[in-house]
Amino acid sequence: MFQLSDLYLLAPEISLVLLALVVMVIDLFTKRRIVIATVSLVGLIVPVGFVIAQAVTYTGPRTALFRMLVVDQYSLFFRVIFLIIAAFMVLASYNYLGKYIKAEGEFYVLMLFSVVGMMLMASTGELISIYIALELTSFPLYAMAGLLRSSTKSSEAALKYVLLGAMSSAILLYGFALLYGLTGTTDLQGIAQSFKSFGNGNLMVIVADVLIIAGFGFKISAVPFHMWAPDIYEGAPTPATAFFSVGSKAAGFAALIRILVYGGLWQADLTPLIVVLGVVAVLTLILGNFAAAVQTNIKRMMAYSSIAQAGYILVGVVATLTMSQKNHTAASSGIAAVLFFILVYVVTNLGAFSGIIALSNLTGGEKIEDFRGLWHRSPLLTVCTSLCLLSLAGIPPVAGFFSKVFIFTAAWQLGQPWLVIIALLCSIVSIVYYGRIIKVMFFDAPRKEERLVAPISLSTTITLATAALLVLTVIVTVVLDAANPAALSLFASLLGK
Amino acid sequence: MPLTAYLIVSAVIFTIGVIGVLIRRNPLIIFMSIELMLNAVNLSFVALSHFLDSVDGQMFVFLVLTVAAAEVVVGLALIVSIFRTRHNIDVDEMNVLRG
Amino acid sequence: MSTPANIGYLYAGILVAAGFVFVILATTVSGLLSPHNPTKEKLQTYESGETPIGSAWVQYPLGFYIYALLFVAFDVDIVFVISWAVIFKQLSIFGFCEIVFFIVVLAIGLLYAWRKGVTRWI
Repeated sequence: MFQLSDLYLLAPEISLVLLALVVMVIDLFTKRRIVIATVSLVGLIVPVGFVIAQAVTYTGPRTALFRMLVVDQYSLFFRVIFLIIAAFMVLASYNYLGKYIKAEGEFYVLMLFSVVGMMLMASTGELISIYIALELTSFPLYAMAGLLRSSTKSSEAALKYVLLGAMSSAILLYGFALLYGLTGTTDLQGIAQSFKSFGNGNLMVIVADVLIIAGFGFKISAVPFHMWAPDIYEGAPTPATAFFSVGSKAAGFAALIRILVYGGLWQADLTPLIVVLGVVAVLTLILGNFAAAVQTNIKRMMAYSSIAQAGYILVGVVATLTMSQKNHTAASSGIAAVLFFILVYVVTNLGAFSGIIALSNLTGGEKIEDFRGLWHRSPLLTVCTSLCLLSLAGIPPVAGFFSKVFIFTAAWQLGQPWLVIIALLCSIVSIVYYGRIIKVMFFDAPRKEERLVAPISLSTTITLATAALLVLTVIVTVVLDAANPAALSLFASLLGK
Repeated sequence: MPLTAYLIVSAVIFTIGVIGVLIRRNPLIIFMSIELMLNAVNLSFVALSHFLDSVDGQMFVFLVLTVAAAEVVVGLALIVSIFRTRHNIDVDEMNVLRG
Repeated sequence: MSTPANIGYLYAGILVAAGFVFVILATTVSGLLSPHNPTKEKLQTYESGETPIGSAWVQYPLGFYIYALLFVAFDVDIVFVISWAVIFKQLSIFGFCEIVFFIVVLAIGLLYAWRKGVTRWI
């Protein structure tokens, strides 16, 4: 039955919804951007406080609201990630909004609503609420893609996003319908229980798996469901692009892993599941990296780069599934690596994108050649952006290196050496295209000599992101200590029965 | 009638929807095809819910209906905003962006 | 084969087939027998006796669409209010609070639309 303590468990999401509504009403009555941004940023303290309180007083997985809400370490980990994204986005978009978008308040409101959806995606244990959370995440994203109303590119991107997004959620729903038909329940724990008695060779299970992977494949932009990503990343306003590339992807993975592992889908017909996911991972890695290497527009390059990053995460997921039937503790190391990877990816990509927003705002161009010689014109921005790009490429001193190492060692130990080799070869390609931007920025002759001064909010964001990246590099073990139990908590609830 | 009959009808409608999305060029018709896909899913949810004797499936249908309505509203609003600027909504002519 | 349910389907099938045959027969026979003498007035679109002006393919002003969108967005939410009302007594005070929150959120949406000038014509 319903208890008041349920509300406490849902408090981060509820407070975020209220914050979004407050921002929406304030936006109706004042036109001052600074007020709206300040309210959003300060208001974020409330959900952050609730999440911290829940993490500090954490005693074990709890469910609320008829088992729709699951508060375990996994969902807490993701809630933290999404709140970080929200805070960064408020700061990073501030100047861009003033310059290009008429609807500033809407941008913040949509962003906050979307973050609510993302947080729910990570913390629901039930198919219906996963679907609702997914749509709550997606609708604001569709609108955000089209906010640049004067640009035909932007509205085209938005329309394409809606059409493909709607189709992908319909496909996902069909998978959910099959799951429901097979197990007779929409509760993930119930599904896990009933999957225990399923043998191999059940065609419907395989079809359901494939439909669910296809549905989420769109959200995480995995090949062959990636074709929307480059177009939409290019057309959408740059802060929105940054938000898609981290938020939608992290949330998609959160829900996908929740369904595959917590929902116990690995208990029946594991081999086809691994083959399908493995093929998707390999295609994503190869196409993402090679296509990124030939792009001239920096936003398109970042789009393909984010597709490639999804490939690395998929490698970790596949590795976990490989071992999941034999040893839960070992298998969870794959998910732990994935969680660490996602955290680092989120921080790094936000940093890289704020750098790109700042630099393309200042130079007025989005082509890679527009970035020539920026080292002489804006040293701080260039150094920070380069550090983030280095981390994305996985070059040793920065956190991106560790996150890749963890995924690769986990996958190697869990018995997927071939995937690791392919991923390694692809990361070598990635060094080429990330390195190219760094080379252009540092060593090519600048187009003009005049110094560029970035607005304060953007330079704060990028410095913060880079600082966070460096801190992450130092406290790798601390984060892993949080990620390991989070990963294990997905299996633990199953073992408890 | 057996459950299989409902599921086959639903699968057929779903496939028609997918084909519609893939081959039609007018965004409005693509939206209709997506509606078709969603309603095919709804049909199988209702049928399964009846045969499994559990209400969850019907709850799902309620929520899918409302969410689908919201989805169409977002899409149509975008179409209206595109129409305001270019008076044409054929996806084939949307070639500013190349995939 | 001999269950009553199947017999019912058979009757229904016969009825449908008979319907089709009747319609096809009636239209072909009348087409063959009737005189064919079209004039300009006869071919005009029938609009309750008025002479039609312009083409039937006219574009409606975009304003209508915005109204339609608002209507769709708010209309479908009634499904929750109705299902809440049906079991109102069992849900007690918590259910009441929930539906109030739901309606307040919708009202904020309406407030937004109103402030943005959607409710003003043109």
